[in-house]
Amino acid sequence: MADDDHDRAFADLDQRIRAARDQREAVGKGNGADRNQPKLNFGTGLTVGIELVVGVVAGVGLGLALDSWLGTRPILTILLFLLGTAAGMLNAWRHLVRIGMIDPHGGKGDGQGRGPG
Amino acid sequence: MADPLHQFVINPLVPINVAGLDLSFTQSSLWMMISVGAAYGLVMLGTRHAALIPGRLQSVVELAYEFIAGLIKDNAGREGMRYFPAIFTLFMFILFGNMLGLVPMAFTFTSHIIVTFAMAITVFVLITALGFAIHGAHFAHFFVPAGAPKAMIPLLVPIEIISYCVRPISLSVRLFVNMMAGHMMLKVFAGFVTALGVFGFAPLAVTVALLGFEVVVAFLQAYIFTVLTCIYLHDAIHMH
Repeated sequence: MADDDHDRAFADLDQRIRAARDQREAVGKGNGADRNQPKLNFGTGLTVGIELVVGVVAGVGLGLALDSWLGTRPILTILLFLLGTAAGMLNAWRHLVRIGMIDPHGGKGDGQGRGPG
Repeated sequence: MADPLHQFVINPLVPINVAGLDLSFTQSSLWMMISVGAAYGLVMLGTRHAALIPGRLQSVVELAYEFIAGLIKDNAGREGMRYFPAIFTLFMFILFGNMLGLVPMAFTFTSHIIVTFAMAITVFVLITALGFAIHGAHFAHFFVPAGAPKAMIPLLVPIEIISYCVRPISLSVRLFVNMMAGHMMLKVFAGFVTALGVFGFAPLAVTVALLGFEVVVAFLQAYIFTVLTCIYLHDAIHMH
């Protein structure tokens, strides 16, 4: 395991730590620049898709449950289907804003996606 | 061909029945315990020496610590570091569950929605309680979008509430769907290997590629679950 801890390894330790810190700072700067780029990966599409589907399904499910409980079929199912769809779209939209694909203040985002405007 | 869904069947190892409730110790429970044991063992062995120059195992543990600490600071802010132990535990548990599930003959407990939903609803309830504990009744203002016209509020508040309440569902469905779909796909292609005889090398190549892909998915899904937990934590602490 930690068998690297020989005495000779400590001889130029200060120097090596400094070199490693400088290197790390340089890498850190690189990361900072990367962070402005949208975090696009193959999970993005699936994530947004699941947000949309879950919103609709949860809305309809809740609507059906409430309707059969209160005996108001189909009013609440229709209402909650619409609200659930809106909620799903809101969540999908927020996810896209979060990963930087959409600029929430309108116009084009940083990525390939387009804003609302 | 082998049934691709057969791998998800829960088998009780030690049948336990308490007052009509089936509390059996199943292979799912066993693999959860193995995951916890493996994660615990890794962290304990890795930090045993606490060397200035870390060895391999200590590097892995430090890497995991730095990774989660960075994730929390980036997504939930510095205040989120108070909840580091919970989030680190959650990440390691899901990661080990996903990764160990890829070992042949192992069981992937994250491919069951009840497991992922239990984790997601725990996160959701605790974070909502935290929001109310920090902000009191003011946390309810979280559901009123800032700057919205007064006439729109009766419409927007229900949408905000639903969008908040479906969080545990989307969180759990995402993890469960990814794990289940991946394992089913592996099983289907692996089934073709024997069914096609000599030409089985083609699906075998696909299976090998898929397994590599699944390793990425296993990590990515644990990461996404953790990132979203951090983002929800941020909402509870800062209310936007």
